[in-house]
Amino acid sequence: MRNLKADVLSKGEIGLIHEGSLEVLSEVGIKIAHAGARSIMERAGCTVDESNGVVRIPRDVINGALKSAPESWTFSSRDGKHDAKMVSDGSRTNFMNLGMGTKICHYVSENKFDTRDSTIPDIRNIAKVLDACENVDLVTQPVSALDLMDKRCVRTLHEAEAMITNTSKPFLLDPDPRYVDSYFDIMKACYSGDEEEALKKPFLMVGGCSSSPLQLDTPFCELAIKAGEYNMPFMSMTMAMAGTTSPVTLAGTMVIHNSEALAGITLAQLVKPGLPVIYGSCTTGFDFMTDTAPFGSPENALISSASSQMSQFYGVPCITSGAISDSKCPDFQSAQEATLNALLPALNGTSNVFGVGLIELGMTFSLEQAVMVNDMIPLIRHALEGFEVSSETLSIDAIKEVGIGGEFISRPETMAGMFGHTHPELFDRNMYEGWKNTGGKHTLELAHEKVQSILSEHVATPIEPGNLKEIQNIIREADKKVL
Amino acid sequence: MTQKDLNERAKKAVMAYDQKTSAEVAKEAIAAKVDLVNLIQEGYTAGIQEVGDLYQAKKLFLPHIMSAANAMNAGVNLLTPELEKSGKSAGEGLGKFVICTIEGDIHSIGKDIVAIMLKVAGFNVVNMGRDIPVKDIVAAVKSEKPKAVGTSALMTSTMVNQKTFEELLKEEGVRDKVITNIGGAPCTQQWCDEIGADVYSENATDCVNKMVARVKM
Ligand code: B12
Repeated sequence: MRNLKADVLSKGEIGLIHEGSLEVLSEVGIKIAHAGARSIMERAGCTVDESNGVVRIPRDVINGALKSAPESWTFSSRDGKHDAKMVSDGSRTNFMNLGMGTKICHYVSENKFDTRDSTIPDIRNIAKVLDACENVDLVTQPVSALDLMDKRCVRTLHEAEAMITNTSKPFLLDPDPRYVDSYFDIMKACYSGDEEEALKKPFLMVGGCSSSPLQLDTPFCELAIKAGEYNMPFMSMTMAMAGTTSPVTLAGTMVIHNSEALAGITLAQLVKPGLPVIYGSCTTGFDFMTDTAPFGSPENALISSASSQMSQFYGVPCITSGAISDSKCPDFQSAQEATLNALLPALNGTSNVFGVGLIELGMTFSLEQAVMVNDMIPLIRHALEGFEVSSETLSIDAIKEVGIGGEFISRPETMAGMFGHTHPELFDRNMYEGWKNTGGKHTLELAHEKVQSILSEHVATPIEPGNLKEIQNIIREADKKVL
Repeated sequence: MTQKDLNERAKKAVMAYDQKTSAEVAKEAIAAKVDLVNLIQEGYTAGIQEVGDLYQAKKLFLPHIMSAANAMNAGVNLLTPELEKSGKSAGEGLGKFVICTIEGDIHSIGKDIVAIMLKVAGFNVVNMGRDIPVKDIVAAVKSEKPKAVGTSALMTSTMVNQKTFEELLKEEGVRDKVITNIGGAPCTQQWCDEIGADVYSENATDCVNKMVARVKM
């Protein structure tokens, strides 16, 4: 149930952004680096200028693509227990982490953190923690394995293996276009070699990021084309920064973002009509005081909410950044930023809030931040429900019965209804003495303890040993081919 | 119009981000046959350096620097062919600095910020662009003979190319001819040490401070 909704854009404003985008795509066009992708667009009715790679997309081509894109679909999980519903009507908001940092912030003791390069063992730990976070619905590659950076191996496959062996949740890869065949083979292996099953229930998604303003590079196109071949869900993501790679006004930035997201979706739909696609946004502002692109800002929250609205207008599920922070460690800043930029898009009904656990402008992952945000998600979901006002819930009869100066504690409605109120796991609601007597620990300490207990106790649904062997084989074979 | 007046107007035009006036001053200077090298140094460059100082002091910001640089270019681009005709040059300043985003990487904003700040500081910057093959950067080191070469990498998948670049410079026997400078969000001092690059810079200001000191060493 969702009763609360907050819109950033009015209907008229959605129309203006839409029309502005169509004008940009048909008049300015978008530069597509991949010749194959250009000819796919040309065959569909776009005007292609081969001298500079610019493709002008007419409105009917975009409308056609939007028609064939599924309005809702299920992102499978490899164990079938964590399937995630991707909707575009605002009825369901999933939460997921965001990648791909290059560091991990280790909690040492109160106010002491140790931030280091991320490694494969870190990825295993993060996957385990995200698997255990019951409010995290799907996952993405959280950090890169810097320990494998200059090793002779296919890093992306090792990173993917570290993830899928420690979480069975649907997984958005950090995809390398050269290895989409391997990703598919890994899914097939997970399904005991059943190709049909891998085609029908993919649990891996690939995604590409457009290059603002108005360019789709070769890896983006290769991924879209390969995704179509294997029926893997595809995300068309943008990462414009208002004032640098897009206009300083958020409205103008929305036009750039929306044009690129639509162009990417159009390409994917032309490759394979009906392919499950995602309208994605990591677009944000730019802070000229620090020369950085902050993700924890209200600008990001507004852009994510507006993007969510556009995606609902188009009937395509979305992933929008949120629950993310620019702080260097879990602290007040990380809490405030993650709350604001999770709440605003969630209030709008974004299909996925993308950011759990990520801090430092997308560069660092914190396990403690992840479990604290996990604790916050039900509170947000609860707030989104609002409350019911009916003749029954108004409780006039009870009020009359209790009368002036009575109590409501012993009433049967209270006994039945008390569990409908929130009760967070890590956030403490005791008075001072109660808090002291139950250990007197701060949230961050509790979060750290929870992380430790997950790491020592939690086990994700294992991959069948035979299948796992096959996956390791696939990776070993791919490694061998690396010079 | 005297040299002094023209210098002053060029400086003011840069500081007012005024491309039109900047170009007009250049044209007038050419017609008046004043010392064009002096105009560049005491006029245009003086203007951009003042804007650069205000940027370092956080009184002005990137849009101001970029706009001032555009204004400067509007004038200087008209002067360069004239200087070439007479066989003069505007001087190398602090020396040549080749900069680019490394092979496989298209993140260009950070690198462009650094390039502009280096230019403001007085380097003769050759900005090769983004996604530049390692062998092309080595070729540029050989042909341009710069004092320093800066590479930007924003991704773990492309940082390794900074290492390849160091190796190729050695193989080609030009490693000791140039100062290597690396940057980009995931790069660290540790990475710099590991691959044997000379200087790591965290941001544009850090880069300017370290590199100016380094070339003056
Ligand atoms: C904007 C952005 C983009 C834009 C870039 C637009 C452009 N024209 O530059 C676009 C959308 C194109 C993009 C694409 C991609 N991106 Co990107 N992008 C970013 C983002 C959000 C900000 C980068 C930025 O411009 N920052 C602002 C500038 C001013 O800062 P800066 O670049 O760090 O530069 C400063 C310093 O580093 C230093 N510096 C920089 N260069 C140099 C050079 C020298 C010589 C020196 C001395 C100093 C120096 O000085 C600068 C000024 O202070 C970062 C996240 C982040 N926080 O950095 C991700 C990020 C770098 N991108 C990332 C990824 C994964 C991608 C894609 C692969 C996404 C995809 N799946 O398609 C593609 C890759 C495309 C490619 N082949 O390169 C990842 C890398 C992850 C990893 N572990 O490697 C990051 C970290 C985001 C994330 N957390 O996942 N991206």
